[in-house]
Order: sequence, then structure tokens, then C-alpha cells
Amino acid sequence: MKTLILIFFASVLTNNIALTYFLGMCPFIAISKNTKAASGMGMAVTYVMVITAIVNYTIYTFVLIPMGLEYLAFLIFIIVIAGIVQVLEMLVERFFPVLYTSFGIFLPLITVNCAILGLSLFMILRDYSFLQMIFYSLGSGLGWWLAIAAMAGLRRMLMLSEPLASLGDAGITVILAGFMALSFFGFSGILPA
Amino acid sequence: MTYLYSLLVMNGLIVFILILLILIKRYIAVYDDYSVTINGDKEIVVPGGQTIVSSLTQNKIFLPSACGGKGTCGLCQVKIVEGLTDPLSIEEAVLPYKEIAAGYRLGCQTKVRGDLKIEIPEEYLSVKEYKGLISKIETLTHDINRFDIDLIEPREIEFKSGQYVVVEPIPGETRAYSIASIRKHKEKISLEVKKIPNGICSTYMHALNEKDELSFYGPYGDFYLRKNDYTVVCVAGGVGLAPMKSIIDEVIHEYPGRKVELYYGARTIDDMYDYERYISLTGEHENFKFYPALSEVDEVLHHPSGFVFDTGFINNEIAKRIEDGNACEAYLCGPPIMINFCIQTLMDKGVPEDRIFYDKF
Repeated sequence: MKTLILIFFASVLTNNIALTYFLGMCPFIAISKNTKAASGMGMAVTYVMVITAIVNYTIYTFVLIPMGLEYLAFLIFIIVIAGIVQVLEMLVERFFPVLYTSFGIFLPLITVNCAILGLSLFMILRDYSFLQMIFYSLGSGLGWWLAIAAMAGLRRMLMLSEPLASLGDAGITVILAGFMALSFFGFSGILPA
Repeated sequence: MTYLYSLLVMNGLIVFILILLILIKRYIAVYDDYSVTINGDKEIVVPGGQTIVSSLTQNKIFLPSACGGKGTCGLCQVKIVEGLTDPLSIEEAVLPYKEIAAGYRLGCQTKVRGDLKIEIPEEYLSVKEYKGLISKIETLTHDINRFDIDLIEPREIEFKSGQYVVVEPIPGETRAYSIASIRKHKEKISLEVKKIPNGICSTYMHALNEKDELSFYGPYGDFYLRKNDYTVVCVAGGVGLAPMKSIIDEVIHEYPGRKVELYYGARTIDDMYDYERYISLTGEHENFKFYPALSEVDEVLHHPSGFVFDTGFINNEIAKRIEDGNACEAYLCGPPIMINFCIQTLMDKGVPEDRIFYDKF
């Protein structure tokens, strides 16, 4: 149980997938302009991360390992993610129209979000068990959500300040992300070494 | 053997996902039919789950679009009176906050998920899809062609002088062209198209031949001649001359005594067309005045008929000629930078802002 909680908090805070690995940067920079959209994107990423991790884990453990096809993991994961995102989009649109207006339009963007693929690859690299994988994917999703929501908040504050014009919009965002990553290092004290 | 396995696993997975998608689309993601009431009287029944624009298009009601349903141009906006849903992020980016609060949504983004009551400008209800046969192609300048089109289906078109039609060479790629023919001739229209380097639609248009078929939607636009007695000031830049032909003809023939002036700007005399027609028109009608100006020519040009082509930008010509701006009504068509300068000049001359109409392209 303790390892599970450790994995969860490590993936949310100390090993935040957006701020330590800098994965999923395109939506992180493009959609963090307003807090509502950022939150919708974060929710969609969390949702897709957990579901694709479960499916990818199942396929990897019960199909690829027994057949000795581990080297196909990369390709299979991409196909699974693309397929699942399509299925999810249709189902969410059909059964949860309200949810669809809040994050459904971001779902197609997630197909090419490297954070999702990165998560599936880390998960097999670290030999997680099924339960550990659930906690890890949920933690990573929430961590990405936390990071993009915090970034959107920061960028709202940016409107009140005057950063160098030559940094542009994306430049200052990357610098902000760097500062956020530094501050997230501070969380490393809460986990035992 | 492992190669065979890997092929089997990969293809099996892809086929499985495809079958899953098809099954979901076929049996799960199906929607009920809903009724859409337009402007309180016309009711249509459409299958749910598709956008307002596509449900209206199926029922032969065509909303204008310049971006092809990508949600960036904002032309397809509709007012939803009943059945309003939360705005999507795309709509929040395109539509002003006040319009969203008033119930305006983008027709290409908002989907039909229940019974709707919507309001669209009444003129869109008369918009139809037309099919025509190109009867004549005329080269006007090095990059402008005029296409004369005989209507096949429906056989007649009703439009107001100055309005435009929309051509869609590839689904989703739409461009608007002003109708460059006279309103009285209902069985045919002309379009004047300037070839833009790498332009999708103008390249398509310039590749057409005589006897080719062309479909278009229309007429659209609130750039049309208003009914009153003000002096009509037409300002055209380059191919922006297209809608002026109809406007000038309507003023001359249907408003006896109403004055009309045409300010026509282009870079050189080679970029101008139809000027001989307007020169002879000044001789026939004393209420018509024609002031051409060439911006990239250093010397004033004298036409054999004794007519003068001034140098400089067209807004200088306006500043020189207009005396009482308050008695004028202006119609501008041309590139955005020309329009912006001319609006400023017209307002300096005293033309009220609500009597300046323009079509930027």
C-alpha cells in the first residue's frame, strides 16, 4: 500500500510528467491561455491516460510478452492510443454532451500528445504491477492537469505584467515552465529517499 | 515465424479497432431526429449529432462561410432562441462575449442535440444553389478574367446590386465573388476573378474553359444599393470594380436625377479594365461622373477621347472631387488598405459613417 501511495505522489509532484520530463509540451503551451480550456484539456488527458494505460498494459502483458513481441510495443501503443481516442470521442459525445462541450473538442488533439505515449512506455520500463500502473497513470494525469492549470493561472497574471516583447508569447511560457519545474523540485523533500 | 506473429498482431489490432469504430458509429453513436425551427415559421426535421450548418445545407438553406467550417471566419453565426447549449472554446474565441451571452453560436461548430429554435438573417432563406454554364471567358487584364455564366438550374437569379455569390471548388474551400452583371438580366451572371498566385479558388476559376459547368451559392451580403436620393459614390480598387457595374446601372436607370460617381483606382493602366465603357457612359448620362487614378504612374495620362487619368492613390482623388460629403452615400470595394484610407477620407469630407458601405477582400 505504501508503495502505491508513493508512486501516486511521486508521479503527481516530484516526477511530474510535464515539468520533469517536459512531455506533452504542445498543448501545455498552446492551450494554457485560458484557465477553463486548460482545465478541460487536463481533464481529457487524465481520462485518456488512465484508459490507454489499462488497455496498453493488458495488451503488453497478455499478448506481446507471451509471443515475444516486446519490440512492437512502441507501434502498438500508438495505434491503441489513436483508436481509443476516436472511440472515446464518439462515446462521450453520444452519452455525455455536457462533458463533450467542456473537453470533448480537445480529445482529437490528444492522439498526438507525447505525454500519453510516454506514460505507457515508462510503465513497461519500470515493470509496474497492474495496481501500481493504475496509480501511476492516474497520478501522472492529475500531475499534468495540475501543471497546465497552474500554468494557465500564471499566464493570466502575465497579462498584468510586461515581459520583454522579444520573448513573445511562447518564449515567456517556456521560461515560466522552467521556473515551475524548479519549484516542483521542492516537493522532493516530502518523499523518503 | 516471429515476423508472421508480429504482422498478425499488428494487423489484427488495426482490424479490431476499425471494426469497433464502425460498430460504435453504426449502433451506438446514433442520434434521434430533432426539429429545427427557423425564424419562427419554417420547421425542418434533421438527424441529431451533426452541425447546424450541415443540417441546414441538407435542407437547401445555405449559410455563408469563408473558412469552410473550421470555425474561424464567424460568418455562419446563428441566434439560438431555444435549445441553447454552453459555448465551445472555439466559439468563445471567435464571437464577442456579448453575442455569446445573447445566444449567438457558430453554425459550423454547434451540433443539433435537441429541438432547436434558431434565427438567421431572412435573406439566407432565399439563398439557393445555382448551376450554370460558362458561355464566355474574357481576358480583361493580365490577371483578371471575366466569366459570363448562363444559369441552368434554377434558370433565374434575383439579387440586389452589389451582392456576391460563393464558389466552392473543393468541399470546404469557399471563396466569394461579387456579381459583376446587371440586375435586370436574371438568366445570367458574370464574375470577375483576379488570379492570386497559389490561390486555390482563383487558380481553379482561371483553369475553367468555355462550356464548363460551374455551381455556386448566393446571393449573399449587405453590400447593396440602398433606396434613397443621396449621391452614390462608388470607390473601386482593381477587381473591386465588379459590383459597381450593377450599382451604377441601377442608379442610372431606376433613379432618375440621382447622381452617381465612380472612383476607380489601380496601379497602372494595364491593371484597369472596362474604363472605355465608363468613359462613354459619362458622355451619355450627365448624372454619371468617372474619376480614375493610377497609383504607380508618374505622369497624368490622357485618353484619346480627351479623358484624364490622374496619378496617385484613389483617396486623394476623392479628397479632390467631393464637395458636399453630407449629400453622399459611399460604396467601397477593394483591398483592405485602400478601403481603410478611403473611409478616413470620406469621413473627413463629411460622409456619415452609417452611409459608408464596403466589401473588403
